[in-house]
Amino acid sequence: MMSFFLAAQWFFLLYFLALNAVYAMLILRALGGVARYMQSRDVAGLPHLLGGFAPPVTIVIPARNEDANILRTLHSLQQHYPEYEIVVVNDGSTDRTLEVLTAAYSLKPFPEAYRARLKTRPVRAIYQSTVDPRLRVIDKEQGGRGDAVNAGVNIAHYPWVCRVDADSILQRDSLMLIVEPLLEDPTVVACGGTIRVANGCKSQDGLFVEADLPKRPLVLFQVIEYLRAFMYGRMGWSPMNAHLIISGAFGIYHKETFVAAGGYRCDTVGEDMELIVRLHRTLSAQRKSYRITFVPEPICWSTVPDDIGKLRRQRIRWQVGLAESLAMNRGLMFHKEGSFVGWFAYPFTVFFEWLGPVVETCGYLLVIIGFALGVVSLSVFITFMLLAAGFGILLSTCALLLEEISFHLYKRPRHILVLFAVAVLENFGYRQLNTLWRTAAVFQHLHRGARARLARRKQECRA
Amino acid sequence: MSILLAARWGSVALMVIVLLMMSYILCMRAVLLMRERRYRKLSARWTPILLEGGASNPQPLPTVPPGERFLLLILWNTLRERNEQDAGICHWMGRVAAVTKIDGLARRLLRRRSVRKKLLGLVTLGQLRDRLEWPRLCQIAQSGHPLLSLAATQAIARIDPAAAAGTVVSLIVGHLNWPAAKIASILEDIGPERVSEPLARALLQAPESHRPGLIPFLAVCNYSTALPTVRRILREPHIDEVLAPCLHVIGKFGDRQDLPLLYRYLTHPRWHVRAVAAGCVGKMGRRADQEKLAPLLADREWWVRYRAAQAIVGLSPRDAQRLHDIQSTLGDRYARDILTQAIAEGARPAQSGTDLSPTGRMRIGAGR
Repeated sequence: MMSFFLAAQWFFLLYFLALNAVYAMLILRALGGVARYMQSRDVAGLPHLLGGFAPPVTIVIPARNEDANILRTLHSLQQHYPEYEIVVVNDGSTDRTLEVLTAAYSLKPFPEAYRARLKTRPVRAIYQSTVDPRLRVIDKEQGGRGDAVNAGVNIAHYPWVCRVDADSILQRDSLMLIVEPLLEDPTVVACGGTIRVANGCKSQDGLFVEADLPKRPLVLFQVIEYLRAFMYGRMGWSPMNAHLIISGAFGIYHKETFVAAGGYRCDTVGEDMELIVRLHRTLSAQRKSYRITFVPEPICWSTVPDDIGKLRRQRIRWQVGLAESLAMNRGLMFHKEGSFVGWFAYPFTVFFEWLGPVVETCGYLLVIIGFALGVVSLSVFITFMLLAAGFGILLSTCALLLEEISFHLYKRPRHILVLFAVAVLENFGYRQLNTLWRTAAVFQHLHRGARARLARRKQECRA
Repeated sequence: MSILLAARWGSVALMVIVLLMMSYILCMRAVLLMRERRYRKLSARWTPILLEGGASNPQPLPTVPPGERFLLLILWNTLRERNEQDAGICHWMGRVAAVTKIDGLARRLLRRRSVRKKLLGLVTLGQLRDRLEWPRLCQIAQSGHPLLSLAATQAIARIDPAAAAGTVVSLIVGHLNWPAAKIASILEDIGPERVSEPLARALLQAPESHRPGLIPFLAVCNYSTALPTVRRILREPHIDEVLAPCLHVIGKFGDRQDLPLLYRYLTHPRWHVRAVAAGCVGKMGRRADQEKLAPLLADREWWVRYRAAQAIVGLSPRDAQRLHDIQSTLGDRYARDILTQAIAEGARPAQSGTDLSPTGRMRIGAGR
């Protein structure tokens, strides 16, 4: 028994050290990346310098049962941008989404020569606004968000397609900022924007006005999580061309690359991540020179779940999406052309992002069981808990430091103090809850996979 | 036991690091707030002074403590850029810069290690048209630093466009990895009359593989230089990659003398060449050209069909009967559909799916 606990102790220690070593590396890369970005932003600010050269963009908004939000979202898309069109895809809504749009934008059926480059659920009709000729609406049968975006891409006129979720809040210059990397580097095929928590922020007519912190602790914890995820998660991987996700809430894609890759898959709940992993897999296998990049400036504000049930469902969905994306593109792992992403980012995601919650849960269980059996002393128990919490707080504080040296969006000193408190408190309950949900999602995914394999085998036997 | 001890000390060390970082963040915020307050005060005092360019009897300038000169330099740049179009204000701001000695500060910034400060210095000297540091600017422009070299090139172009044209063009040829949009912006700053000759010369002397990257910039040049250069490139043996950018330049200047050349490319094996050629014929052609474009309505590539349909509609936008006549002759369903769409779009100006210009738009034509 003792030797089992000793072996387990070493395993967890090494796992823990490896994980935090990678995080430290990401933080250092992110520091460099943020510093470089802030330098270039200082004097070579895009809106005034490159306004005339921005490429035309098609904005695609998948909308299902969004009659309450859709007009606000469209209003927020009145961007300071030279040339763009908007395609709203009504994905089989059962509410009044289409009626609301028709009334507000005087939609009329349009004889579009629909070109189904990406297969989607049947399109019922295409409408064009007579009030704003830049707006077209596709009415189609329900197929999910990915299917809806694919349909939008099919009728996009412009070479760049920007996906915006119907519940996102953008700034007036968001589009201008997200195209900057495309102008800087012709090998960029996709670019994601930084998403921040909209709950509690001030907005007017769908446009972001001022950042503020939400009141509910559950949402506050998510503010810190988003800061961590974007400030050094994405920012750390991006300089190595190795980040594996562009959030569905706001991202821009080179249309031809998107179509050549086959668009979003509709058989996964994490279609946004799956596409990016697939792009890495296929483009690196074809030895193409490409970059998938990221704008660190907070340009999209998204509403996050404010009750525990919704949050649980979201986290399980994300973890299942992650597992599916990795499983569908397992060829990327240690692929000879996979470069940094195949040899480092993908394995890291498998061992630490996908399996991490399971290992963390086992660690907690082992310490608790050992403590109950008397194999683990109280001092070991406390030290373990302090170390786990300490690293958690350190990572959150690093994210806050990165935010402070870059955008310092939360203006008041009170905000910083609240965020410090949240960075500490989230390690006592919230983090463990998240780990449990994600662990459940891992087993759910494995179970579903096993059932699918069994069904396939039965089918093969019958055949 | 030793692991436990290490873990215990590790957790103590973590807590200390966290506390230090939190204190550092608070200090940074305090400094930021102080700086913002100082900047607001300075801005309230200096903004009216800097913007009184048109006043006939300007007030004497207040003295600037050395500690505030850097903040004034930032404010000066912000206002200078906002009032770029007002010559009176720009002239007055130049005088203010000399009196308050922020021009000297800008020159000194070029020697600082901080990239941020160097950039600020470069932009200021460009705005001030300050020639005193010309050799240093040229040196920075040739450096390997992507941001600094670009900012220095921009400063050179602003300070003395006539003297800079040749230098800038040679810098561009050596830095084709610079963002195309920024290069075009610098060339526009210098002006077509100055940039045309050196650019055309550089283009004709450049290796074949560099040409597709350089040709789009001819769109910034004079008609009398750009078109002969493009025609010469097309006459000589060339690689296929130069075709679409060349046709785009031809389309931009719209000389009907080039129509026979464009007709040739309507049947080119590369689809984006056919699409650009169809767009150009639509822009420059005559009604009779609709017959040449009609076969492209059944092209296997959607963009070619779409451009051809737009071009056909654009050549007789108000003649619905003629368009319906053309439509009735089409046997192919896709051809009819695309023409129906183009007619419904009311022959609005061509949208730029395959446009080629010195911007990101040319990417689609590259057929990656």
